[in-house]
Amino acid sequence: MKKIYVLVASLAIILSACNDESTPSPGNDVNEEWFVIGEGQTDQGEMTITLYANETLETGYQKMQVAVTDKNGSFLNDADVMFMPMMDMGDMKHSAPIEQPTATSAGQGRYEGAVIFQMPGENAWTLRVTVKNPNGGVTGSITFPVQVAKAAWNSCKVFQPQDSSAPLIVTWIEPRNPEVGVNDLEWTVHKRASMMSFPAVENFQIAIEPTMPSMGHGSPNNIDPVHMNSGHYMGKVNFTMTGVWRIAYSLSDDTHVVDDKQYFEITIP
Amino acid sequence: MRTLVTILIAVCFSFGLYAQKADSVMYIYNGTHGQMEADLDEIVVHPVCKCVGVCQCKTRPKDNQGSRSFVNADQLLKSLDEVELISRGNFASEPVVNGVSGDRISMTIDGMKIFGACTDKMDPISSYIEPNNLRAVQVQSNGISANGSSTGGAINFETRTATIDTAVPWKAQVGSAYSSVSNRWDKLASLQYSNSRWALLVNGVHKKSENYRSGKGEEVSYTQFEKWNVASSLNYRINKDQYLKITHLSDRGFNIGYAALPMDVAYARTDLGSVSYILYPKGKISRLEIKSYLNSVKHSMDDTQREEVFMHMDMPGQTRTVGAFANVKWKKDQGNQVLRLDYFNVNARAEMTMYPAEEPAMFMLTWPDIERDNLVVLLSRDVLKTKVWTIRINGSSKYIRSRVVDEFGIRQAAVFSQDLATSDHRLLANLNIAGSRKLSKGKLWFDLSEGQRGPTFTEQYGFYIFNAYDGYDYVGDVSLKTETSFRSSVGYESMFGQLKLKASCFAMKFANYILPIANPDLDAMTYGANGVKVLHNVSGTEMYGGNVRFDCKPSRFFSADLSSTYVWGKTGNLDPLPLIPPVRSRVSAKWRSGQILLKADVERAEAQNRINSSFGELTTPAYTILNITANWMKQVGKYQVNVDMGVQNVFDNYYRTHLTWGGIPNPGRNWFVNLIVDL
Repeated sequence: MKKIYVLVASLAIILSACNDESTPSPGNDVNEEWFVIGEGQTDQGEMTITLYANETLETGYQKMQVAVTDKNGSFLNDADVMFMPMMDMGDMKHSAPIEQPTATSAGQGRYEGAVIFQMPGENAWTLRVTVKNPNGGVTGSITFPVQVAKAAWNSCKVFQPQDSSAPLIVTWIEPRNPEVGVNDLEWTVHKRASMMSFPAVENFQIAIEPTMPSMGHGSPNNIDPVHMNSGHYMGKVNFTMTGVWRIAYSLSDDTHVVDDKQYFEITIP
Repeated sequence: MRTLVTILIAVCFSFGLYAQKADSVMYIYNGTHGQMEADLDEIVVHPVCKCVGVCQCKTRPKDNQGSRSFVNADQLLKSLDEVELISRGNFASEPVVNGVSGDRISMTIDGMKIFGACTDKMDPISSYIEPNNLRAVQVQSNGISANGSSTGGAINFETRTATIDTAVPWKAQVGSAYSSVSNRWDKLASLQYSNSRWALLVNGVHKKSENYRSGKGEEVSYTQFEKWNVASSLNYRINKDQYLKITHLSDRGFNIGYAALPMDVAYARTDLGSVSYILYPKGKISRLEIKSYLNSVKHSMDDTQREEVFMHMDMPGQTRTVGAFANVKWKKDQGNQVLRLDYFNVNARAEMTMYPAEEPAMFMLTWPDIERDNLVVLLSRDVLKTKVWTIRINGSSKYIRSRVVDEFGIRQAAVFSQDLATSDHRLLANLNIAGSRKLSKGKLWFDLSEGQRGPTFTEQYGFYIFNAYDGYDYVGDVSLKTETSFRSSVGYESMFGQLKLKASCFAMKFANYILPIANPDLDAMTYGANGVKVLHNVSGTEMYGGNVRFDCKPSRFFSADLSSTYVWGKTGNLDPLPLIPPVRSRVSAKWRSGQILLKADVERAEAQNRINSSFGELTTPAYTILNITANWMKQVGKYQVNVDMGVQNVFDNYYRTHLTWGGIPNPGRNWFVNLIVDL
């Protein structure tokens, strides 16, 4: 698996050499896995924003980075950066759960945040990046069109819970490459408060139950994910053999079971 | 007589035993304490040896040669009083010595270690050896033997090797056999050439059997098998003191049914090769042997012949063993001394792949590519040797290093919080003191042993290995403690006119006995399984047993013997140990006249109602069967013709032995004919 990953990455680098737009950002301390997916100037303040993402954007939890430079080309390290994703479905618009960007330790005007794209969209998703320049306080923004492909595996579940409360978005972040054995499990839970507001849900108890649907058996010693921060829940999921696994889960808050009918289905290679 | 038995029982009690009926004896007692030897040559007086130099010159028996050559090795073992068989079909039964089975018995071929490749024990190594190539079998019920030590005993199969014999440069043998109960045809052939420098022996056998019929005449499905086995040996005389021996054995089984299991065997393949150098020095050292060997076993389970399969499954397994040992024998003050240095490395790997409809295959490692190094030092000394007394001490120390080399296996086991990334090291010690005292018409002997063994592959590393006997998936534990046994036995043998009596009994206690225990928190992997059992160390396991045997030979035409064996075992909380055979008795009578030998034997097993239901055991009713054999031998010109005819289970009784899995009945009446011609 790792080999394939390296292969894909190196292939991407080779290909990207022929294509300016996706040239990985130069610089020693910048992750080579980041690809430029947009660049432009803000409407106010003449700041240059470069948008980075992991290869192709897909549905699910997507980390994204921006690099911010001022009109002189100097990196802006202490800016306030905000993401606002938007899906235009013609008759309606909606946003998505967001983790607002914070400065990365690498400096160089880089900020990292995340967006959970609940659905794919070609020319339908946009990401507006708003930056407040710390030197002078000018706020400018720029809107990038982003292409979101349908992930091969559906890591994001949007559903109306059984208790009829607001729709929930449960997103599988880790393991990205699950394997037989013990896997660190990381999920996020968000609530759709409105079409534009998707706050993290921090007060859930999650119970998981992995089984192999074709066999009916489960796996031992799983650890239910518990809330860490900002709607991220972490636990352990164990797979005893390769094949298709179903990870059923129930969500409850302090008073009642919110939902216990949902599951992820994943193939362990 | 009764007094003697009573004395024996009393002695057993003094060893701290339970009140068991110690009606017990040993079979053939060949001098070495605690060791039985089922020598195939037992019946016939050996003809004059025409060997050149120092060589093995025991010839094979003439009587019943057919029966002996055509049975399977496991059936041959069963003719020993102490040995019972766990059978899962009509093939490859697992020997049980005094109620102690497979994992606790060290099994070797000519001192070479070889491991079955089936996680479900479908291929004990006795299934890879054929009696037509067998010279002797040594069965030992204490924990230490020159060929390998364990907690419960040792079995060594000694194969035939080429004999340097200039008097008869060419020897050949062909034979064929038929059994009606399973429409089974066997064929064998053997050829030996010898000159004064070297000798070559090649022999082979092919066996093919259909399903057998039980006592009620019903066909027992999945009891068919087919196999062939070829073995060759080259004996080269470097000079009159030095020999070089090269042996090879290939065994192929295919389409083997296992009635008691959910799967059959598509193939079982074994290849074994060895080179040894033997020196007979002139000084104090009487014999030095250095041997190196290599063997490989591949085994594949198969469910494609079964009608109702929940999901198709492949379960291949393999083992590869490389080893070498050096054996030095010398005499000191009339006593024998043996020093042995033994090393072997074994790799074992088994996988399971299941194929659900329209989904990717499901894969796991049931033996996660295990590498094991073993280093053994053994010293055997006669500390006392007088005309009356012999006392021998055996001691061995064994170092075992086990590790898992496949990352997949290491990750898999992490699910049970087991760390397989680091090696497991163990140091084992086995100790034994045995003595015998000659009496005017017999002898008395005793044996005290302490034996240790490390866990088997399955016990230590097994991952969801389904056991059809109790219907549980077995999961190993890497941190299992070393199992230790303490065994004491006493025996007595004496002649009373024409009657010979042998009686012996034993008591055995285990520390850290390795036993699977159900864990209700775990989910079975196998569809329809009852749950998961994890291997544990348990305390309080004890076994007691004994054997009585009477032999009488009132005339040179007639002989008869009777024997009876009993074993009792419990785990910690007085639960019966599983798979303990009931009282088994045998009476046989032989009548010889000229070229004809008639033999009748009655085999009787009492009911076994003392069972452990948590192992899925069934009670087994008593049974009695009668077998009759006639043997005729004649020299026809240059050829010696040997014919066996007979009928087994004469009354066509419907029965099963307690150690047969899944309630499968044993074969019903079987007419058989064997023909062997020596050319």
